[in-house]
Amino acid sequence: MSKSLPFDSILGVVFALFGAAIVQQSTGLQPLAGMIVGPGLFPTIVGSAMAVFGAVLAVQGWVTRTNQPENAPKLLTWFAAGVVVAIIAVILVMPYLGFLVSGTLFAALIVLISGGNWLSALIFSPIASTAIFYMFTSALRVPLPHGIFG
Amino acid sequence: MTFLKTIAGAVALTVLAAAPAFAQYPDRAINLIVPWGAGGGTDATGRIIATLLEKELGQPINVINRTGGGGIVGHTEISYAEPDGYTLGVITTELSMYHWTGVSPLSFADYEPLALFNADPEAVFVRADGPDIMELLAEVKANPGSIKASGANLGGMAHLGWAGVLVTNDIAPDAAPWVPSEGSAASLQLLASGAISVVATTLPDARPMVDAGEVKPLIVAATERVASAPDVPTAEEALGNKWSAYAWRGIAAPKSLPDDVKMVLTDALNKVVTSDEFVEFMKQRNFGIDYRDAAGFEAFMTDADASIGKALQAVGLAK
Amino acid sequence: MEAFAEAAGLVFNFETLATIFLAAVFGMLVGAIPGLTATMATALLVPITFYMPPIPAIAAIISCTAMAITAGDLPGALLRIPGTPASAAYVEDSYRLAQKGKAGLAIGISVMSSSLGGLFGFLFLLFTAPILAKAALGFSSFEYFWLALLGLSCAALISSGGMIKGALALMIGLFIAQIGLDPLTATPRFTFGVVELMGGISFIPVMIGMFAVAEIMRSGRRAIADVPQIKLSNPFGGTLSTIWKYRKNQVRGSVIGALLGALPGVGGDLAAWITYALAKRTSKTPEKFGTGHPEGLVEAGATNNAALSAAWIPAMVFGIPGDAVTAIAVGVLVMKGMDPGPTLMTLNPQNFYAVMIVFAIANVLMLPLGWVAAKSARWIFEVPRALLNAAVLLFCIVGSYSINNSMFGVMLMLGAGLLAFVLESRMIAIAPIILGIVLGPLVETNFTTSMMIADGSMLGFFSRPIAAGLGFATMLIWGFTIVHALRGFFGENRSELVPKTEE
Repeated sequence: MSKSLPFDSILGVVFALFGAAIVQQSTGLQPLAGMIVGPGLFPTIVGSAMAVFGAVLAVQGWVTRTNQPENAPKLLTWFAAGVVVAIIAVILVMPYLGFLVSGTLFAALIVLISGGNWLSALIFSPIASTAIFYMFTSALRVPLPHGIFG
Repeated sequence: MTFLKTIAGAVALTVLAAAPAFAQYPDRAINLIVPWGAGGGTDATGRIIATLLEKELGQPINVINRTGGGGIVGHTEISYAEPDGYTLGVITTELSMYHWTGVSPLSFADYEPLALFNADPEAVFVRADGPDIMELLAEVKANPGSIKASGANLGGMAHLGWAGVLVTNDIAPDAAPWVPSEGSAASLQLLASGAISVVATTLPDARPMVDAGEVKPLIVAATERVASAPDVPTAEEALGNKWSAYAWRGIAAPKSLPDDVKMVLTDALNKVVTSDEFVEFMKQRNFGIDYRDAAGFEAFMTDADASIGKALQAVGLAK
Repeated sequence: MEAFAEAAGLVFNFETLATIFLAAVFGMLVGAIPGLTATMATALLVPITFYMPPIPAIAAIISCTAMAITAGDLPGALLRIPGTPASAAYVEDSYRLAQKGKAGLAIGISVMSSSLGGLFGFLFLLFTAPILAKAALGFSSFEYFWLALLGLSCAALISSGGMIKGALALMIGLFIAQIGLDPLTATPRFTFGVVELMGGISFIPVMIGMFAVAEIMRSGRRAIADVPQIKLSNPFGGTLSTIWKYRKNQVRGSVIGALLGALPGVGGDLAAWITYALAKRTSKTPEKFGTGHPEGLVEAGATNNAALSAAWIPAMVFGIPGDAVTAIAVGVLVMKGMDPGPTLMTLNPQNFYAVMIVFAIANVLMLPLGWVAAKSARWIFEVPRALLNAAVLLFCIVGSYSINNSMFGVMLMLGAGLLAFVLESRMIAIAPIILGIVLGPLVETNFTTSMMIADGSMLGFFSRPIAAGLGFATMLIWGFTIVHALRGFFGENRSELVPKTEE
């Protein structure tokens, strides 16, 4: 984000465009036979409102740009990115490795990027994921993925 | 510890994969997918079957509610699952409609039917101080559009039940328009509050409101009177024209289930559905039992599919 | 009164009381786990109740539900993961309070105002149940439409980032609610052919992602163990004086909760939002709301449980369950030969009163169990941050997975977390998004249904007296707010536009 364009304005423009896209998508939704109100009405209302409010936010952000706090906390941190990547990895891997393995790896990774040491990651992760696994599958009867080690 | 366990698991899996024929089905937990929400009739009946089937098969049965999209999501999930007998599902009336209305290509041909266990006819209700069926239909004819009916979504079984009453008595379906709602509870509330005049739904769903003296059943779209409501005439008795519309529920598996697995399941389901506990449960909740074995269920769905298609075309909802 | 004595006899025996206690502990445990819901706790209990006599069976369901919903406030206060859509209304306050070192007080207020609210609901319903049930039955889709719209308006208007940002958040929620098959006509909307999307987007993974995952991403490696927790020998000590200070809110929240809760389907989720907004409107210090101020917490907490008791009325008297939990309970009632309906009150009033007494006991039981929870809440701040992060994220993943038993829930959680992470950095509140997801379908289906009934005439929305009243109230609120905002914009004080200022 550049100094001259406040983040609120960017966000406002994104919302306005997204709202317009919703309205555009809703035009294809026609009422069924015998219906006065079609399934496209509410999306159109919501999309238009989002576009209008987005535009107002963009203007408001521009008008008040001088009031923006300069020392806003940094949004993108290594830690935040690490959490996202770890969750994506779990989504991809868990159906194959099962919860026990992928949960253990995931927990260990999170402990490490959160500043924990190797030892606590090694001890804590298998215990936590095994406990959660058995609590859910046995006591709460939520069938978690077993994976190929099933 | 975890590592050892996974090694052991991997070894066991290899052995199993090498010799699947030796494994005695079922040797692990079975998932039963219910395409409707927790607490509804399909969920309640699904859960009692799961409990009883668990005793028969000796393995835990996990009931999974896969809701949404008017049942499409759950039904799709069942048909997509691995046909190994470890994923079963409760399939319902709506399955006969999706491909006719064009919301999903799913049809009964995508499943291996195992047992039909329930069928309840749709009935027509009005407020307790409302007209009888002849007066009601006369009013519809005299003032088209003034009588509004509801019961569930557009093009569902309840809608068909009502449209069929109109069509078989030579009244255009749009003379008494259908107001879509989220289900029988919402529709009965609309009826009681005076916003609409007619509700079509099954007898067990409306039972508390009937007992409360808020609404009364006029006719039931069935081939014969229902045991739990012997005073309510059938459509044919009251109006002289044959019309029946049943909402049904059954157990099915994904297509191409191995024969030996199918045998085990149909035998177990036969015992479950004819057991005293099941019969007692269904009686207490006023659900009708209509048990048919795998072949009977298949024939039933073939018939239902054709007749529902015809009815949907008559109402103008088939694509 | 004879029936009442008989009912007491049905409840006050070892078997029933032991069942109530065990079910309460079970509900407490499930409810306190982030991502697990009261519905799940109740559904798990049902197969067990098959083997119980009627009164213990229904007692188990009631006490488990009440406890699970209240226990949902624990992860709310400690980890910022609200247990129900209703508790999302005040999660910000209870979490900030805990972050100030007053976790015991936050939990204490939640538990005690809930318990008192629930007990008030019990007393209130004891005398008004039949009348209230009858009145609730007079509500049609027209009244529901306005009520849901009123609730949505509250969310947009009270949110802390200002009206524009609140309204934008609401629109995001409403849009998310529209993804999937349209509930009335089954037309696919914004699904792009993806079967998983056809089922719509469940609010639970979204809630977990927006509140918990985003919070972990943001606070990151900063240790919450740094928050010095005030040591309490009696965690409820400060609670009583706080509730006494806000006794007006406690009473008002309970009354409104009991009245709105009796409306099947809408009441429970809406009531807490409306009273939280009301508390903020009438507060002497509205600017403190959302920063860890107990006032809204007291009122909304009271509302929550009062509404919960009232929700049993339409379920028991007319068999119209308002949500999945009461629907499950109705099923159990029927199975045990206690058919819901007025006959339950006329033929077997002892059964009806027994149910009410169980509800009262469950609410009393909340206090000791809540006391233990509040007292032990401190330990969570002593767990090293690294381990806590890992454990909470594991629970988030499993909780999101368990909604539909698919990885899709986890993907939703991640997407929602990322969205909230960006939005909250710009002071766009998350709570209205959740309310939009929950109430969006209600507004839409009731609007469509009403339009069909009124043959497309908007006048229909004002043709029934209650509907007209609710309609004018909603429009009045909006009119007032817009005039206020415009005055702020063109008027003397341009600094009102700075995001952190209210309205």
